[in-house]
Amino acid sequence: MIGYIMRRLAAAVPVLLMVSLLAFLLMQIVPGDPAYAMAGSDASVTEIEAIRHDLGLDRAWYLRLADWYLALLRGDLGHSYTLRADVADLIIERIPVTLSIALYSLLIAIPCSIAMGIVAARFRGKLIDLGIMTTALLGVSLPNFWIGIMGILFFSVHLGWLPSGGYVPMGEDIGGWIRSMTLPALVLGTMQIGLLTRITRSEMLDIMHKDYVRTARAKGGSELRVLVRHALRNALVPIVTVIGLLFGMIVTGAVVVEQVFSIPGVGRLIVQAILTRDYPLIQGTLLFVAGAFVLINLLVDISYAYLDPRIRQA
Amino acid sequence: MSAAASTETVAPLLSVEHLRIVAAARRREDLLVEDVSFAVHAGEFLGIVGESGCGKSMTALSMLGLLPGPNVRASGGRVLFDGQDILTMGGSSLRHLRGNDVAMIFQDPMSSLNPVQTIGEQIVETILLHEKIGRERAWARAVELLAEVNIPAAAQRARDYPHQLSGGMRQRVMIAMAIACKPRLLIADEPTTALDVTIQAQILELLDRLRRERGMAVILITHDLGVIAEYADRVLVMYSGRIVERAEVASLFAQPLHPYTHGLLGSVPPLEEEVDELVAIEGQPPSPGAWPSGCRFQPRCPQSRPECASWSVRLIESEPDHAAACILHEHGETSHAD
Repeated sequence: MIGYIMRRLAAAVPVLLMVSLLAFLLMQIVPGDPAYAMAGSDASVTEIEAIRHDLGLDRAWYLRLADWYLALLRGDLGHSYTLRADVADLIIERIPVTLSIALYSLLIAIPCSIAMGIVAARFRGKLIDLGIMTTALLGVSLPNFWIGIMGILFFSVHLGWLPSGGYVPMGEDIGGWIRSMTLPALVLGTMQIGLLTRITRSEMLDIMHKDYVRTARAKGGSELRVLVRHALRNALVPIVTVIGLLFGMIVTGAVVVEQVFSIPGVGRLIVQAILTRDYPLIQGTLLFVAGAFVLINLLVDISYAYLDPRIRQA
Repeated sequence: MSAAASTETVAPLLSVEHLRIVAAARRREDLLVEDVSFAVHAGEFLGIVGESGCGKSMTALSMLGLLPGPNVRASGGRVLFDGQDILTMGGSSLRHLRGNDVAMIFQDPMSSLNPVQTIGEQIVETILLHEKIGRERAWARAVELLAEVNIPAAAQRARDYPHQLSGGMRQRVMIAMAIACKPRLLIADEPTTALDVTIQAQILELLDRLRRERGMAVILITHDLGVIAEYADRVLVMYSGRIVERAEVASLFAQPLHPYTHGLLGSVPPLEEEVDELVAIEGQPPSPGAWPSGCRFQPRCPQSRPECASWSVRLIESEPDHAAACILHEHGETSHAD
């Protein structure tokens, strides 16, 4: 197992290098320049040139790329132009924020959608199935920002239960953290619920007709036990795969949700970096996101072995 | 072959009365099983034989309340176990019955075990569902059961997952699981169809031994008349959802009354003598919903008469414990041309 993990991590290195290269090249194509953004609209050409020189932007792109890679080898992600701090520090500072919304949203989405998926499968074709599947479809279809705004209107403006934005660190005030994170997590979770419910339902429908589920009934197990211990347990491999894929949606979702709720997370940092053409920050944050993807996929693959003994021994 | 117990005076363990099973699909209802009645006594080995689609598996599933509802359901009759009707039983009494009083093993041992649980856990689950004992004692029982069904190194094997075992071993595990709570009736639905011939014999021997040692009744569903001849006390022959012949094994083989049974026996190669050709029954069994009126075998029957299509089908007892649903026996005609 350790060997397997090491091999997978080694295989991730070229992936990450490719992601950085693509991100770098893309930013060369995109019009705009950090010097313009930093100097302001009424700066003279010479001022801008001076800034470009300071930042090293007057050098050829391949030299700058080589410099960036060399720095990366030393573990240095560079220095942000606009925020005047180490890129690595900026990211690390924001990880807990984004991670907490991500985990909170999964904590809402996973139990909800598995329960809804099981109920929908069990009562296939009935009204409750139709209701759940319609809700799931809405969850997938409605854009995050719209759900976010509606959530603010209803829960913050109309009912006044939850704040409309901002972030309270968990260490400072746990109640405040829950209040500030609930609405964003709900919004982020809506789309996940949609997808995960559908997958759970279709997998359960498939497995409920397996012979071993009939065996479980013939043993005298209760319906709940048959559905959860025998059917759901066997449906977990595809469900966990989808949870891994949801992570991609969480990242893109976080970019939007953090913007809507003004939460200082990694998603917002990416948006900010791109808007100000802050090259080192863009490179760093995208590298971080790609790395997180690789790690999640690795965790999903490892979990297969725990979920299915046939994979374990293969 | 073991002799039938003297069961005349004792109430039967299971008695099926006029069972009727239908499959509902979009505005039509297809009859799967009609007017099936029979009884099983404690310790008895009953064989049910018939082609695929004759309703034998549906009949078996109804005895555990396991019909794949809501589309397939029993629409009439009773299935009495110990005097209680299984068809109208509520959830909790049904759960108490399943695996505890009545157990079942299925056709395909490859797919009938949960692939993500060890076989030991699966047997333990059955035990704990019905008995208030500790997990450790249940595990010890599971290991004993595995040894009882002749699984070597049972203690180690109990920690194996189904995919690590061969088909024959998995069917033994299914049997161990089925007998875990000492059921009084074991239903085996084509338990050896998916297995090698040599393994088949071992599995059937095992079932018969357990029946003798534990005094439980066994209903064996099969399409193999040879297996019936070897093990069963009594046999029911089913065709297109009905029982067409009911007999003690010896008299069924000595003198089949129904032309269908006759045809079935003609298609089994005898061991003692050489035959030039096996006789197959012409045609295909009709599918549910496309059953002919009157006797359902009549279109394929070599002895059919015009009246067969309008005959009201019923079992006619021409000898004690030997009945056939055929018009030929209506007026005391006891045999037909061989």
